[in-house]
Amino acid sequence: MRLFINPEGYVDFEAPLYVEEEYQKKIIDFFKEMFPGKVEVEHVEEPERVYTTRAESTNHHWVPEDYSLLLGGLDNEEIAKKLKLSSMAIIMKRGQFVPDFLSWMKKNGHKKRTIELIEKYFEEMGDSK
Amino acid sequence: MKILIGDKEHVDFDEPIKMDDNQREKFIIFLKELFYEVKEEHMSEVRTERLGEKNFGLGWSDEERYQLLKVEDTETVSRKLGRTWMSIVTKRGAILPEFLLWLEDQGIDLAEITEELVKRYFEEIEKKKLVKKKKSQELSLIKRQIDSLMESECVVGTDEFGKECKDGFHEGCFVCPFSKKYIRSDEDIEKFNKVWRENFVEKEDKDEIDS
Repeated sequence: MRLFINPEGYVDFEAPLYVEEEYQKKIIDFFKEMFPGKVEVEHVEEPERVYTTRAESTNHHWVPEDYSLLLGGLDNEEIAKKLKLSSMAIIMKRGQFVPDFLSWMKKNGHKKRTIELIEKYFEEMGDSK
Repeated sequence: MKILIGDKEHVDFDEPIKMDDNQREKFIIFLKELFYEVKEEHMSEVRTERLGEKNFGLGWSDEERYQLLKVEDTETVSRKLGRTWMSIVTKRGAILPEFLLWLEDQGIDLAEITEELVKRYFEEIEKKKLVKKKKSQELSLIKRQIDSLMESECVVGTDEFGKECKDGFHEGCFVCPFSKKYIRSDEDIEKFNKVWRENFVEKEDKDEIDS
């Protein structure tokens, strides 16, 4: 995160920060403590972001073998071709699955990734493929 | 002073906040407790658009990319980078393949990913970037030299290339890219003139005297 400081001592975020409720509260409390009686909080509506999901992606039934491809060294285009999906669908699935799966492997002390392990992961996660 | 809280969990100020050195230092320490990376940048420009007015797009620093490759679940990384879950997933999906390929090439199993390994990967990427940059600089220098040669004035008569060939034979001549004139080297012209003198000029003079 970049914090902009101008020559007159004004401080600003480079852009709005994404923060969960717990952090929001911490930030507000911090300012209330630093500038007592001067802090106002205003709730604003943010513009919608449009995310499109192609029908092909939502219809695709992901099996452990597909997930195993995501863990390998093939590039997104190659996997997209193999699974007949768009590259964006692969990017999204890869960016979501790989780090979460590796984090789960690490937490549970698993050393070898196998199709069975991928199945086990989804069983534990409530099969939210 | 107003803190803006968005309905999609973003936070912003309604305008930059004046802080003295002590307050600023405290604020930075506080942010560093919450986020992976906090960089101070001195800027004279002021951001005019605020939360609610538009969707903001941000570039990714090397430090952030590094954080994305660490074995950490999406929720944690999103929280510690101050970026949405969606932006983390999309960026990770885009940069992971190269890293996974690198791991495969190195014969490293996914279960062996450590912070040191991610650091090593980034160092190698940096080195590759530098080599690529150097090569591209060298290539662009060569291209500039060629361009300047092609765009320069006629090379006929320059020390490097020689004089215009007017003998009409043009065997072994080369053509000036700019003027399209035929060029012979000085050495060749000397040789030509010698042969010319001996076989034609001097012979013609002799014939004239004889007649």
